[in-house]
Amino acid sequence: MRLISLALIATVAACTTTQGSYTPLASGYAARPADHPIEVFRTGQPDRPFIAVAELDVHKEATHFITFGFEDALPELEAQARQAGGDAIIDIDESRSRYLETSIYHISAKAIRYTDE
Amino acid sequence: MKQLIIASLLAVSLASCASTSGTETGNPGTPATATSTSSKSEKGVTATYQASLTDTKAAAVSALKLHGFDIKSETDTHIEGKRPNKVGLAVGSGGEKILVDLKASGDATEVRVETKKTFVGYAGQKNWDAPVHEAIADKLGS
Repeated sequence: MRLISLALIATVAACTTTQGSYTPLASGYAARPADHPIEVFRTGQPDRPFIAVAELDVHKEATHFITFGFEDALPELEAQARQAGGDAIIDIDESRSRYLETSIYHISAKAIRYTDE
Repeated sequence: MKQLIIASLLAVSLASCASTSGTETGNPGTPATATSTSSKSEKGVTATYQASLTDTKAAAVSALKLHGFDIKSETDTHIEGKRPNKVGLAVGSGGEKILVDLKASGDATEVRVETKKTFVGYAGQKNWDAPVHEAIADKLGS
C-alpha cells in the first residue's frame, strides 16, 4: 500500500517540465557567481544606467491540473540572468494557457547589467 | 511481482515526465515589422511574412520556445522541434514534433509549419501549426 502511494506521489510530482534558454544580446560578459543577487523589476526599469545582455525564456508545463505562478519560474530566470552576466531582470512578459489537463506557463524577459559599477 | 510492476510504473513516469532543459542560443536578429498571409496546405500551414529570412527564423525559434518545443536541429531554412512527453491523469500531453521550413521570396519569407503527432501520448497531443504562426506574426510585429 505504501509503495502504491509512493508511486502515485512520484507520478504526480514528476509530471512537470521546465524548459529554459537565454539568448545573448551582448558578448564579453562573464557569468555572475551563483550567489550573485538579481534584482527583479516586475514593472518599470531601474534608475541606474544599464545595457541588455540577454533575452530570457522559461517555459513550464504540468499535467494533473497543476498550475504555476511567477515564483515557480523565478529561480530559473535568475539562474539564466547570472549565466548571462546580468544584475537584474526587466521587461517581464508572462503568458498562461491550458490544453486538456495540461497547464502551460511561459515567461520571457531581459537580463540587464549595470554599467556604473 | 507487485513490486516489480510498481517499480516499472515509477521508472516510466519519471523517465517520460520529469525534464529540465536549458540552452544558450545564438543572436536572434532585430525584430521587423511584417504582414502575413496564410494558407492551409495538405500538410501544415504556410504563411508569408514581410520580413527577412534572418528575422523570420529568429521569430520562429522564439515561437517554438513559447509553445514548449525543444529545438532538436536547425539550419538557415529548417527547424525541427519536439515537446517533451508528460504523463497525466487521463491523457497527458507533449510528444508532438514540429517542422518549420523557411524560404526567402524577395523581401518576404514563406514559412511552412507542420505538426506531427506521435504514437506515445497521441490522445493528449495538439496541432500547433496555427499557434506557432500566430506567435511568429506577433514576434515580427504584424
